Amino acid sequence: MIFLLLACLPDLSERLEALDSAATLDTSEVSEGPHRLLLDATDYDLWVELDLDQKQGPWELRFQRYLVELNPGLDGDGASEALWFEGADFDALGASDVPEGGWLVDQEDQDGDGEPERVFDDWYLYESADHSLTPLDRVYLVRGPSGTFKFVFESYYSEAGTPAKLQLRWQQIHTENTP
Amino acid sequence: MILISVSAWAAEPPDTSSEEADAAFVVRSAPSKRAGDQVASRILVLDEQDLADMGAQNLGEALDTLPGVRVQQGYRGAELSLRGLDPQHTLVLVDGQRLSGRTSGAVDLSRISIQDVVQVEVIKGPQSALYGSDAMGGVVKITTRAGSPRPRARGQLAVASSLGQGAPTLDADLGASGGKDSLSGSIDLGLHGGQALMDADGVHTAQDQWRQGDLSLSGAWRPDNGPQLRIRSAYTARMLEGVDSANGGASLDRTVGTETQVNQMSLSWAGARSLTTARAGYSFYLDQYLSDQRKAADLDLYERSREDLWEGGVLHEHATGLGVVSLGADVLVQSLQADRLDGRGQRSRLSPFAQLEFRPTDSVLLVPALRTDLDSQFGRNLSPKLSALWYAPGALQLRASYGQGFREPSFSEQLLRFSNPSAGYQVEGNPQLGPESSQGVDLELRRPVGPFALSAAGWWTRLHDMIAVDEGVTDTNGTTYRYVNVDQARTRGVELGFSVNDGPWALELDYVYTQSLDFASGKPLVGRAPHVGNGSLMWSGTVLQARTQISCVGARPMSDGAAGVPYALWDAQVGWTPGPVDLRVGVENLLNTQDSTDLVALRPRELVFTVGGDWGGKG
Repeated sequence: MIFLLLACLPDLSERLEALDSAATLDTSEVSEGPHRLLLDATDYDLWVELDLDQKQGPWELRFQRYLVELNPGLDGDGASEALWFEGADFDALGASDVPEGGWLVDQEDQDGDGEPERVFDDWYLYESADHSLTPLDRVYLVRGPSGTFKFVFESYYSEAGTPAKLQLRWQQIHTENTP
Repeated sequence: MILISVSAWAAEPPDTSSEEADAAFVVRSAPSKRAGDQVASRILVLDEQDLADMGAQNLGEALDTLPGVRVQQGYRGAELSLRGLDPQHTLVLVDGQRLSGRTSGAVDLSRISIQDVVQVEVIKGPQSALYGSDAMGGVVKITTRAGSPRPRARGQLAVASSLGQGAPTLDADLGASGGKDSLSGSIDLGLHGGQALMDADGVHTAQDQWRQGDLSLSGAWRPDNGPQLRIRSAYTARMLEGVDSANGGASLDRTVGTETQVNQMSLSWAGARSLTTARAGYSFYLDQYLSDQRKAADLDLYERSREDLWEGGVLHEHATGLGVVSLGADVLVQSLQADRLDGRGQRSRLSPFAQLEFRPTDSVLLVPALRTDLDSQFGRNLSPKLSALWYAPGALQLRASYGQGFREPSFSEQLLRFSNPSAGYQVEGNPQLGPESSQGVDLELRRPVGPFALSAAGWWTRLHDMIAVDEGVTDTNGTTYRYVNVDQARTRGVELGFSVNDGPWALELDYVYTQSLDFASGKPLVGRAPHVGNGSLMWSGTVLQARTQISCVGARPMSDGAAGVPYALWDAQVGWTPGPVDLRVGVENLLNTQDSTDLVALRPRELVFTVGGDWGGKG
């Protein structure tokens, strides 16, 4: 009797590589008018900084997975602040809607959980059954050194369904950081 | 037919001269060969003819009809559980050897070709006193075909069609055996496959497409006197393909490829009042898991794992004035390499055991047994068992047993490092885990009255140090879960059986009530149906047979707090066996029961045609 020593199935990892080379990759895109961006925040350790006016200047927001932080600035310079409107129409929101007060900034840990108190702590609805995140129906206003911007989260997922590839949309409504 | 009760350990040395003794690698004395009224443990037995009469297309389908045996079609195959416990608490042996390659704790019974099986025995309750780790809920012993010198050829083709829902499934098997003088050999080939069933969205799959190929070779040397040698080598390759959906709308093309290779050798020699069997085996299990995200590569995943298992054992049974003494020892060396593991898992075990059957009176049989497992990771574990049979007045048989079981943590539970970015969680293994353990008590009353038989059984199982994931720690990386020994649980229940065998007619009815409790949550264990009933009716003529069977499963608690919907599965078939040819037509899932909460892979109503032949196997 000769024992069988078969291993017939192909290496499936080669199949993966072949498919990936032909796969359509996600790309980032900035257009006229409202900016649309697919932001890759998939890294668990790195923060991805976003300069909303897309020029060389300080960033207003930074992202890591589902976490979003405002720029705290350096000794008060370059700091960003934000507020939001529940259920507002992004397109209809204009300069006249920008309030003078009510602006919020991220703060140090207040509740002892080791995490700072972020203005964007609850921008999403978390569904525990399938661990999915859905943006709340909010339009944020973000104010920084480059001006004032209206800003929405369109999705936590790319069109291919990758989490932490956020679909973002924003538009500048003031070039100055005060109305 | 199904022998309810029955088995283990006769007062005489095993008879190895019968035709059934051709079955390879039977260790621990193949209980079902013994007379049913001489055994102290309760065993359910299916033989080759039972499996053929059922018309089952796979082993899981056949075993699901047995009382107290639950087989669920999960996404990685058919998973069997006993006594209301999880699949990882049942030990599956093929020809006395552990089946390597558990996925999420469960052995996929679909990997075993039903055409290669000549006998299945199910022993419920803790059985670690004879079988060691994993035998907390019970043991399933599968015996495969072995050759005999008489020429024999077999073939079968089965086609199952759901009539309009995808392409039919095909099962083709061919086998031949023969030999000369004391030498014999056999070969079996099998090819199986089926198309995927799609979800309502037309993109994702409700059931996978699968392809499977089997090849087994066996040989035996049986001189009239002296030692008898048996050897077997088998290979199975299986590919499953499906399309999954993930949160966020991702579609993932999933391919799972598994390969199993089993090599076994056994040598047995009989004395005047003894039988000694030595066996050795090596098997490996290769698993490739590929998940390919459509339109992106972020969620792509490829993992490969390989499990190697070396096993050996010696068993000596001797009839003495006191009774039959059985002494033996098992040796096991196991290793697992996997991309998911933080390191390589490796362990070895030496397990001596002993059992005595003696009759203090003509109407009482007592069977104490004890096993020690000396493990390289977990040290010593003692597993006792005591079984008793009493022939009470009025042809009443009473069986009672107490046993202990244990399960060592799997390598995955110890070393896993798994991250699911699409769901935002990680699972970490825990090298500090200890074994789970169980204690069980079984009682059975059985009374045959002419063609009728009535049985009633009660059982109670208590589980300690059950391994479960903790509540998780959430940080910026999501939630991290860890395996811990925390849970205590209890299952208990009642089984009632009634059977009639009268001429060509056979009727079997059984009902199982299961009550479970997870002490941590104060709730019943998830997925266990309190009420399950089975019924079958068969008529066997000279060349014609007809059979119908139904399984009813009641509502059961689910993980989300809801109750799973009750369901019934009804099959029927007729067969015509003129000589060596066998033709069958049947309908499976006559009621077309659709997927319920936990029926992951229930196939729709299917028409099944089977044509087979067996030349030289009968008479």
